[in-house]
Amino acid sequence: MSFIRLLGCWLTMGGLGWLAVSATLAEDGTAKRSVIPFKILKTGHMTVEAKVNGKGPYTLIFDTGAPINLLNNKVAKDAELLKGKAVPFFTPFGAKGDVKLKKLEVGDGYATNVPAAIMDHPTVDIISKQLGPIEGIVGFPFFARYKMTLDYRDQTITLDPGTFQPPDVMKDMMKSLFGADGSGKGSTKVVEPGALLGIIPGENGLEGSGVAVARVVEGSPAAKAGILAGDRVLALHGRWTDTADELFMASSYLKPGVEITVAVQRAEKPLRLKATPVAGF
Amino acid sequence: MCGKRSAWSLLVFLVLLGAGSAVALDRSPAGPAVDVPYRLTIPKHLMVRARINGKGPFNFILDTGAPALFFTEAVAKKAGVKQGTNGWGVCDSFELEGGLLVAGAKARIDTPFQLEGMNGMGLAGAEIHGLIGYNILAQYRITIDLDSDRMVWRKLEWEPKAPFGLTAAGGGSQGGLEMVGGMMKGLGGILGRKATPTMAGRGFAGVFFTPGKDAVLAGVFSGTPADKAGLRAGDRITHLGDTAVTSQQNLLEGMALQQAGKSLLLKVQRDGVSREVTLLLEGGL
Repeated sequence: MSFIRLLGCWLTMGGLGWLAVSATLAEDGTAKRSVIPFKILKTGHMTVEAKVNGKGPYTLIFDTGAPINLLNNKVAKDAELLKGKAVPFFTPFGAKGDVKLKKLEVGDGYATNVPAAIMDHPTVDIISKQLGPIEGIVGFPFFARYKMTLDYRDQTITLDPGTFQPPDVMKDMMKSLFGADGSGKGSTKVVEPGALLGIIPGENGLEGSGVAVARVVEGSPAAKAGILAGDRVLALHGRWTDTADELFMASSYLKPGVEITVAVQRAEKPLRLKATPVAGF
Repeated sequence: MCGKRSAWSLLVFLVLLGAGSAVALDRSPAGPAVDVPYRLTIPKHLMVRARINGKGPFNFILDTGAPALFFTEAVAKKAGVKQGTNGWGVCDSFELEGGLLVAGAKARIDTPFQLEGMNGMGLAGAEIHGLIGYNILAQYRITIDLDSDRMVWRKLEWEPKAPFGLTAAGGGSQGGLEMVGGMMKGLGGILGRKATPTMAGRGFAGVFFTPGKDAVLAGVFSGTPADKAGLRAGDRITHLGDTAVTSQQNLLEGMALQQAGKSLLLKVQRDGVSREVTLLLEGGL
């Protein structure tokens, strides 16, 4: 299991769980916006200047595809990240496991008590040798707590305070691999609608032709919206629905009392109908 | 070697200078906002869906760590995207879910080892067909708010520079990490993992609530399993199977794993009298 975990880490760069990631606070304690400049490498990667526990700045790749932050052994040594930590026996690519950073500052945005994996990632090394130095990667645990805007033309990352609590990447992944939720295990993953519309789906459609509505429940939000049996649902609140599975997946984002648009095809005509789902099952 | 490295650095410096002056000159406003729905995968990747030449949808990870749009040979074949001798292909149409059309999307047709491994182990909870990287992302101003289930994309009028590939000393371009993909795929095979889990909708009974604390029915839709079983507005659900229900939220959590086609035992209270009802859950939402 630890071996699979290690492999999983490399692939998805998943880290251990973390606690809070702070929004940037102004001197008076109110949340404020930070605008972080970045550079574009000729490979198309974006790099930012970051401080780790007050040390640095180091040049890191800003990577929306990285579920964890990653720092190389040079930074780990510099910022004394491995002090008092048991180093694993098997350390391919210099992987020393996960640490908690007291503070990760990117421009004038920062996160406290944020996890990072220590590893000399070979891909980062290659880029570093040719375009560097680059000492690691900033990923999901840093940006997830913010409302983030990426703009390559202005070369800025704008962070506005958000309220999202990043979940534990590794815990969720292990649960999925070995746990009871069934995702990917050959057993069935049950998809729960976030709220009820009152649609009984029928046969699946071909690509782009929508799932059929077999029946509309009398008096339900779907009935009130004017959806009819025989309609084909093309999209639920912007999410494509060619199959019953996709319809369920799209419905998992519904919220009771929040109006949405249902795009349907009736005979040859596309229609956009408004529906307000309810709490229930 | 040393000379080669400094030549690279010089190039970077020039590239950055070039990009800097382009910013100063070009301040045209961004295009209209398009909502692009996304999903978080199990390892917390931002996953969006796209139709290529009308085919799909295919699942993509939004990845500023990827130099370009990537998708697999299988996707290219299905969508009829021809791979040029240089490894690139051009999509006639690349449409993101939400209705955003990317004009002339150029893609690397290739299977990054990360995808091979993730799909092999079924790590993401969905099959990942590709990555959306720099060459597409740079054309847009993109706002991502994890509190919302959709991103906002706005077109920027500028020409991002084409990305360059790098070469690695000693073979593979990922510094030896690419073998991990194959290993994961092999392991996934042994463990019987699938990239796409089998899905089922939660079963439909036909009861609804006033959002709030109590597990008291606000009503029952007619002709539904709950209606046929005799449930009525005002009934308080006290047990789901053998488990006591303490709140509406608690009830819905208990319902979350109940599949259509299965029978469900509920204990309800009406006028101080407790009764048991069994209903057959329908496939609906």
